[in-house]
Amino acid sequence: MVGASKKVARMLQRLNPDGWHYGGLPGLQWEAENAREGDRALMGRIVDELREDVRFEEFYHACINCGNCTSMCPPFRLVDFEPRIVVQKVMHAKDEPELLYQMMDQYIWACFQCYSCWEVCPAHNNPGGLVAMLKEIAVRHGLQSARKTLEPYSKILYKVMTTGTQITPDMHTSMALFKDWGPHKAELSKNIRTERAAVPVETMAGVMDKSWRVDDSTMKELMEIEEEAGVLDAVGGSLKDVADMVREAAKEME
Amino acid sequence: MPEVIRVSKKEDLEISKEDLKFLEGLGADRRAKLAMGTTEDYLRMLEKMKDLEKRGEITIHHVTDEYEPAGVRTLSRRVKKIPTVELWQHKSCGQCGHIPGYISALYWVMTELGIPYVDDTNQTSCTAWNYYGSGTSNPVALSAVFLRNMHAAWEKNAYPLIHCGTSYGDYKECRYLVVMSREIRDRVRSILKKIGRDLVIPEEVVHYSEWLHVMRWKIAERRKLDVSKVSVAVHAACHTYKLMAEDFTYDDTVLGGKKPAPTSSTALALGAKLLDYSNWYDCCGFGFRHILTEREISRSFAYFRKIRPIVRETGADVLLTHDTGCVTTLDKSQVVPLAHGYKETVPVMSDSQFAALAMGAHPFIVCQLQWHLADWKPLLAKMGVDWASAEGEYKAYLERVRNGERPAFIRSPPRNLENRVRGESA
Repeated sequence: MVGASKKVARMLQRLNPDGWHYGGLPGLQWEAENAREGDRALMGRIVDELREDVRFEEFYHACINCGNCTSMCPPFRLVDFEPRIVVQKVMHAKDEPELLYQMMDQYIWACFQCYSCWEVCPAHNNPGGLVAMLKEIAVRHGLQSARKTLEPYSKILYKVMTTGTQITPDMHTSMALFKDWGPHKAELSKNIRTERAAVPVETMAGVMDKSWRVDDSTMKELMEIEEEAGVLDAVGGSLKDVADMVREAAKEME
Repeated sequence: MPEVIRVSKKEDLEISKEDLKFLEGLGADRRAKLAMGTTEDYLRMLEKMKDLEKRGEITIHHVTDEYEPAGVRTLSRRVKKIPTVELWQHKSCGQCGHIPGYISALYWVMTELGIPYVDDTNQTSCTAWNYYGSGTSNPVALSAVFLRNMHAAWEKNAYPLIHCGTSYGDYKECRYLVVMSREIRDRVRSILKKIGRDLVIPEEVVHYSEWLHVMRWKIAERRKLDVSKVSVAVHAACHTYKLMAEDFTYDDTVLGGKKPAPTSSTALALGAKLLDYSNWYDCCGFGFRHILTEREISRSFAYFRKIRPIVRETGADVLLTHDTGCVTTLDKSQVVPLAHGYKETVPVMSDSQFAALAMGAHPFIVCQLQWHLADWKPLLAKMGVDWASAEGEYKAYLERVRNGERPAFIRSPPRNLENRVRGESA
């Protein structure tokens, strides 16, 4: 028991104030701090969930640290993110779960999910796929980073979950969203209802609150799938309000 | 007695029989483990799909002769069947909201070519936005949504044609998981049963740019505008050719068969000048949640890694692409840099819009270019389109619609196939 505590203490010491040194990641104090304070049982569970997932065998093989993935990675050019680090931490996760946890608590959210990394990996690792899995786990367990990341995103989340469509014309009725699209957007906003009414596709013409006209029965089926597949429970882990609202919408459809 | 094996054209290796056997075993084990992302395992998945059909576990929606298929070579060198008629339009949740010309132009091209199709209201997006963007879905849900939509297409006796690069990539992933994992297959089957549906898996997952690729010569026959002076750069969408890479179309006559063929091939067939550029491989910068909540990252990447180098290296008149997110990101991300004094700009549109324009479609009523930000006027002028008069026509059309006139709907030619009745076997 004492030996185990010493081992844990030694591992935690590696999370020094400058962030974790493994693979050279500077400046992740916030994550390091969270990992120090994190629930170790949860960290272990996260590793188990990752490794038990049916996709794990497909997405993770072994990493030789060649860096091909990082060299092709778009966010690597702009922010502190490397797919190589993701695979390395997954590789060591069983022995050092806190290092995986540390990365999950913010780092992974920089990924563009473009899968350039997957295509160039000589060992056919899929770092983008691993990130997608880790994001799911973060949402399910309501990690602070997931809650923070999803908050500004909840309207889109709700729309996709209830209507099965996403970007909708009513998002263009004010300048609030997409204001960096400039004066053209403002001009388009003025006439948006007529513009949409005149789109020469019957399923889209005049539809403002969805991408296209979707049957009620279709939306009902979608929400049933989300409930049955555990999506609503998972989303509820991070954004309870959104999960509740989707359930309400489903009830209204009955 | 050692064996001699050839490891390259110039090199032989002397190795003991035991070591050789060990190495071969190691290789076989490794290959057996590697699955998604390798050609042979992808092909194995397709074989397993046929086995499941034989055992009666699934129904395959085959690309039968009724769909008048055309063959293309994929990265795996497998010949993929692309249906050309009786298509079920799988719309994109990103494209329809603010790039409506992407879809109306595609429908217009089909109507001009006499291709029957179904534009269904019984369709959801793939919902993979929630998977890639925010981790708020899972493989069982995604696969169930995929097969729900595929079943709806099957009921209509029309072959699914996927408009969105992400839906296309996601559906290929889901098909792989459903076929290869009994656990996922069983869970999805039970969910589908609850909503009165069954497992109908498409024999081929087909992106609309692959349809344009196989139809390009017929499209070129209908060309009304001379685009030989128009120079085109192409951005291939990551999720079409990097997700389950082995299944996308390549063609030895297009870019040497080394880069994805669709869209480039359409531009070439129309007679435009196709220009290659060094960072063709880079993504557009979309990043899913980034385009919504961390737009500065998307914008910077789109402008400094794509738009600026493309303009500097090629001076292209237009940038063509074949995905919703790419059109949006590459087009809209030009506003802020231009406001800051950067000069490089290029209009962005889908290959369907460019093809429709070349075939003489109305730039605003059909191609809906008024939704695009980067200046398309010089391109239209170069194509010989009097955009000012067309704009006048469009304003008059809008006025008529505002006063209650029915929009100029594009409709499918009459279909040759009839809907299936639920419960009827394929």
